[in-house]
Amino acid sequence: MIPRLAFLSAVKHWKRSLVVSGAVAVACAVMIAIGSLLNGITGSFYDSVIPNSGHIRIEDAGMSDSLNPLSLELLLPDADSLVARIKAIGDSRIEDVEPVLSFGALLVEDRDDIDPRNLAMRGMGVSPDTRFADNVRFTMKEGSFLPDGQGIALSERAARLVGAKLGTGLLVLVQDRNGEPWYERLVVTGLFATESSDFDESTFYIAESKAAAMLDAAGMAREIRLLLSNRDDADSAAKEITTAISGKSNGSPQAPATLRIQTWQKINASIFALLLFVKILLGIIMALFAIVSGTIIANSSLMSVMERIREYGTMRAMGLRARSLERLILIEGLMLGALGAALGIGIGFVIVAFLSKGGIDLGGIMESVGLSRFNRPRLDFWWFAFCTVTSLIVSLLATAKAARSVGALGVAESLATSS
Amino acid sequence: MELLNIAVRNIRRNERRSRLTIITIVIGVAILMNMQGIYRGLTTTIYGHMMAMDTAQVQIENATYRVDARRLPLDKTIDNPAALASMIRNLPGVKAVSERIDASFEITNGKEGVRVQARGVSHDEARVTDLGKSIVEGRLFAPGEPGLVIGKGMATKLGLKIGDAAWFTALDRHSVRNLESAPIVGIFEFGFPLLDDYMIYLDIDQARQFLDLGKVATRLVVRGVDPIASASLTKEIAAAVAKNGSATQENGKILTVYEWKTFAENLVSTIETRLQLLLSILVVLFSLIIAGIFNTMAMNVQERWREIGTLRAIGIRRAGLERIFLLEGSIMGIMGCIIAAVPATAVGLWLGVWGIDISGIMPRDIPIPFGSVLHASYSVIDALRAIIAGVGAALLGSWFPARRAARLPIAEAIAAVR
Repeated sequence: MIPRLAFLSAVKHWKRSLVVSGAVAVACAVMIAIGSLLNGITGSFYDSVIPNSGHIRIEDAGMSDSLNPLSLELLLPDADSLVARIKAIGDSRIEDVEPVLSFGALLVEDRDDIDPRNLAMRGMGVSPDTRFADNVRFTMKEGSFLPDGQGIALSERAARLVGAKLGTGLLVLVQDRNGEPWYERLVVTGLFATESSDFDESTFYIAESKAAAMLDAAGMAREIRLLLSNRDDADSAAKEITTAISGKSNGSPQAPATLRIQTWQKINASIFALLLFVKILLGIIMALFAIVSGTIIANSSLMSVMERIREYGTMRAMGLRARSLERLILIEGLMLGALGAALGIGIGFVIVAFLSKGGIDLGGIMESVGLSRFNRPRLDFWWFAFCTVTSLIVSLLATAKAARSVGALGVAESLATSS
Repeated sequence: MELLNIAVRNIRRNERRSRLTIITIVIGVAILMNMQGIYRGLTTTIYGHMMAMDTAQVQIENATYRVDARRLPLDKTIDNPAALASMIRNLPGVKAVSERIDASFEITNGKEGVRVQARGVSHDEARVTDLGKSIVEGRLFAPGEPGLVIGKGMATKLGLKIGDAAWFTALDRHSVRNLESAPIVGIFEFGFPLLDDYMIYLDIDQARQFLDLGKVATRLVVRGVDPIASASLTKEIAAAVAKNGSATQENGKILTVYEWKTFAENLVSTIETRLQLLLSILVVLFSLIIAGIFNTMAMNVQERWREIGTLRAIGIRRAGLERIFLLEGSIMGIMGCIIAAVPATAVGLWLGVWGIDISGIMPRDIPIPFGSVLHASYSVIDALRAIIAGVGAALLGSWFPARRAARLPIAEAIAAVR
């Protein structure tokens, strides 16, 4: 009976209902859009974790203080045996373990010219079937990624800068571990184009065995990366690995002093801090929208209720209890809130779908911190549910004041009110 | 005056409703007022730091340089930079011009080496950027003096002190690797790790000699008298270079003049994207506020049909009636602005005078030169803009209901059962 009355009342005052639902819809849509944007940024961060660091990274302890992240002094001397020991643990959470040998190199145009072009870059020595270069493997434009471990894969941008093309040769100049210069002519076997111009202009890939041979670093690696089936297991898996490689099975595990074992959360602590900052800012914006919508709903409910005090007086005179009257008003508010939330979800969905198409260009700094420059907002069921519930709560809270005001009025007082 | 009294009376009669409407205006105006100040403070700080540390206001390059800038090419240079600099220096609005050569070096302390960007600069560099002011130990090299100025981060990590010899190596113009040593004469600290850790400065003639570059430069950098007027300064210099610049160049080289933003594209694009997002959010917020006011005023009109009919019957014209409702909206808008001024000023004073210490919040390796304290920067225009938006929203929200009220036929309005 009461829900029906509430429904009829909402329909009778359809214009006001529209404004209330509209306010809820706008606030809900904004929350969905902002939340999905944030979700897109966070998603882009999670996507970047594997190519940037893996879920767990093992490297030389001196890396933290080193000015030169590509110093050959800081290679892991027994990387191959470390990889074997980690594999021997047989932990089902670990999907893959790989040594990665990064190094500084100069790419020089291969031509008989007095002034060949050159470009200082970071070389990545990886397994040809690496799981840690999906950002490159899935964005190959020409050729393929290190076929049979041969050649060099670099970006189209870098290739243009050093005048290289697919199939042409390129001189890779390095200084080996003994400080001796060394160069090799490698054929360009793959050209990629990721979304990050910074990455594209600074990174190339060759087979790890080739890198080790050029640097005189057989069996060595800059780092060992681990891919887990569930990234949330990183802490516990890191502890287990620490125990295994330090040779201790009891007591507190301690990594050998020369090693640094870090989880993806620690490695990306800066980005986490930045994401937190962005979350707080967007949270404030969403809260302000909720307040503005709340005041609009409160105002409309109040007006709607005040206008109908005599009607409510009559209903009370006919036997409707004060509590039932309050419930009627609250249910009406809830109905309008639900309608608004449904509309808001629809609008939010359309906005997110539209923005996801091309992505929003958030500027080049995103690349510099290892995230994608183009943010594609991502839909999340739980966020939709949260926005719906919040919209309903705001509607209820905003209507509660009006409901209490009317409930507190006596029957005679209500009937005597002239509006 | 009578109309004003009616409007005020009506606002007071529906106190609770008016209060809620004013709250929405207060929120919108306070947000708008502060957002502008925060945004300006942020951009002024970041852009100012960027110009002071690195880009200056205007740069002139060989037209073919930019497309290959990532590899710091030494084959795309400016001829006769001294003559060109002299010509630009004489332009009105130009404070100083410095010649630069940028190249990729590797510097070593004898044990550990690191790849860095080396910048050969002329003695005017200290007037173009804040390099001179940022030297925390030692001094800037004298013209022609062999010596390096390195960042504090690099000095700490490589264990280099004033007077120590550092070795540096690089490929010269002909891709021949050269090696040389020079004493550390100065240590700078901009507070920006990208420069403090990976940039070294040396005298431009020393750089020319080391890189076998003759008398060329890779760019000229210009600082204007007015630190804000970069765009207009760029235009003036571009016009002068187009007119007289080619005379200084050999083999028909073409020069291009860029505003500093080109060299901080990542930074500028990031900040401008944020501005667009912020503007979109503000537009939606104000639309919501306008809808709220519209709703309030529409209800107001509906509630007062009989009163409207009576007012019309006793001789108030349509325009007068319309004015009453618009006045109601304006008064609420003005009150909203006045009330909003209190929290907005409080926040403004806090952010403007003390600012927020973000040194502990912002990760050190974020490539944005925030500085250590973020100050908001307010102007009278911000307040005016917020007031106009607040009152405008109130007027816009009241306009349709006011027109509706004015157009009600007298008999229909009086007969209305409300």
